[in-house]
Amino acid sequence: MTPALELENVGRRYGELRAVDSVTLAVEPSSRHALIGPNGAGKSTLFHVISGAVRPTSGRIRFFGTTVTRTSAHRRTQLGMGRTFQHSSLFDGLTARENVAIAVQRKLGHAPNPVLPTGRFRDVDARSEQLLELVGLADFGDVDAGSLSYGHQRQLEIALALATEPRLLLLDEPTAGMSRDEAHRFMGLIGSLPQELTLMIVEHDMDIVFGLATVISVLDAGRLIASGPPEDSRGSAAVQEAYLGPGDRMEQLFTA
Amino acid sequence: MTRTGIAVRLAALALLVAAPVVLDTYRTFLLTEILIFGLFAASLDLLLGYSGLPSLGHGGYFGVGAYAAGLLALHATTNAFAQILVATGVAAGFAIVTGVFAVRSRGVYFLMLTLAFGQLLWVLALNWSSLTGGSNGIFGIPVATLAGSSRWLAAGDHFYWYTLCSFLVGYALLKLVVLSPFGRALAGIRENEARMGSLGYNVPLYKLAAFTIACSIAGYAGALACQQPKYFSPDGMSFDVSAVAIVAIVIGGQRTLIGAVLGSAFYYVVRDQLSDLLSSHWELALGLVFVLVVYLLPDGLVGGARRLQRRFAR
Repeated sequence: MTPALELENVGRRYGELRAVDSVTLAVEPSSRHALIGPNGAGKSTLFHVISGAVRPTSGRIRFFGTTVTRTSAHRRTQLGMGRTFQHSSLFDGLTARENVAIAVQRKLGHAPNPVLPTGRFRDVDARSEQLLELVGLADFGDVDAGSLSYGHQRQLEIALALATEPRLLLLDEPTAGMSRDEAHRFMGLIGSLPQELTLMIVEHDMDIVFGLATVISVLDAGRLIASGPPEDSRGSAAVQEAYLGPGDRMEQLFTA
Repeated sequence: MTRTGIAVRLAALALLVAAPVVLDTYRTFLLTEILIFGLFAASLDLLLGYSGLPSLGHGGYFGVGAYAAGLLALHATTNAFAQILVATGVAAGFAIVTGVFAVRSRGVYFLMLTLAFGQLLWVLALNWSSLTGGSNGIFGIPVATLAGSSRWLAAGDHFYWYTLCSFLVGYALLKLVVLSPFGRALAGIRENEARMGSLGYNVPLYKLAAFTIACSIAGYAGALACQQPKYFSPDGMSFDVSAVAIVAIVIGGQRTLIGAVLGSAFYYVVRDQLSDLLSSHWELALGLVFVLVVYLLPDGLVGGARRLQRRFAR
């Protein structure tokens, strides 16, 4: 089967700094692929490179077999790559419903229409409502995105990403800053996403990672140091060292 | 729309239609100017207010439309509609060519680029004497004709009604745009441009479309500005013109379209009154009046009216 995403020696340099250093990786369709690593390992940069926000300085990226290395970010979204942001990136001055509608109308092909009033597009309204409900924001449609609670903003992020109907969804630290409760409910939402949807997630919370991931890749100093089923990285000495430095505190990390 | 809203709009329309019957020739002329400039300012509101694209060169495209209409009248056809259509088209052409560069930027860079393009167009009008008549501008423009006859538009009141109709058409076009899915996309660009790309929007293309629509309507208004006095010079498209449009939007209330028109009316009426009263010092007094208005009405005239309305509704 064609991988959902293939990275071939992908690198991103900033001057002398190799933020991402020759990463080769395949993400299988329908997998739940977690990307972990210590702070500054290059996880976010790699996500930016995958989604097209940042151009790689070397290597090649294929998305369901199509080379997208030089493809613009908006085109990648059109091809089926959705993403959320580490820091919520919403339309703060618009209501939650309008936020979702902006994404939905583009997907349904109505966005370029400059003459008919938005109220005439019932399909956009219906789909927007459906997505708000899916992420648990049905009662918050009229609230400005900027006034939503932090957790709700994260949920709205997911609704925006899902509105693009992605085949691959990139989640950049989706539960960062959430309370335990919020994170727990949030993971329920992620768990309920259709199985065909391929997920790639950057996450620090190991409970979440091991609860969700079917594959774990570990990044350290821009390099991929391990990739495989969760059991492998649990026992890997390289992973342990990257996270904790030499020592034997591995137990604490994964049992905490 | 509420019943009150419809009533207010109908009343305003009735007043506008009946205005020349009540007003003298000079005031009718002033009202014509207000409608033309109001439409121009409203087209800038599409960029400044709705899309978050602060253009400082909008007057340039107003001038392009005016020259296109005037030159067409001098050399080709006096048909009023042909002039408007060509003016709109030529302004759109200039907007696309310059916009391609401008829409790659945002914020203060967009401001500087549009300022440069506006000045460029102004200098072009000033120096391309063989075509534009240099600083003297173009004059002796024949009266525009409707259905082959100049009789109808020669009378001042008639030209007012013609302008009112043209204004309503242009205004309605802008209104359709801001209420459409495209308008919603522009709001998205205003609120969070970066996010739009990750939702699959080709942002530069949307910005270019918005820029082109706004400049086309500016050119459309420019044609009217040339048809009325049958004269146009580079003064009519200088930086001042762009700046006054921004002032009108701020005074009237941005992101409302109608605020731009009300702000223009405010500007013209206050200027008219003050220049009678204070002769050459009127600009200073005008500045003070504006500071006062902006201080007292942060959301402009429309914002103030809405607050009043809410107070009465309770």
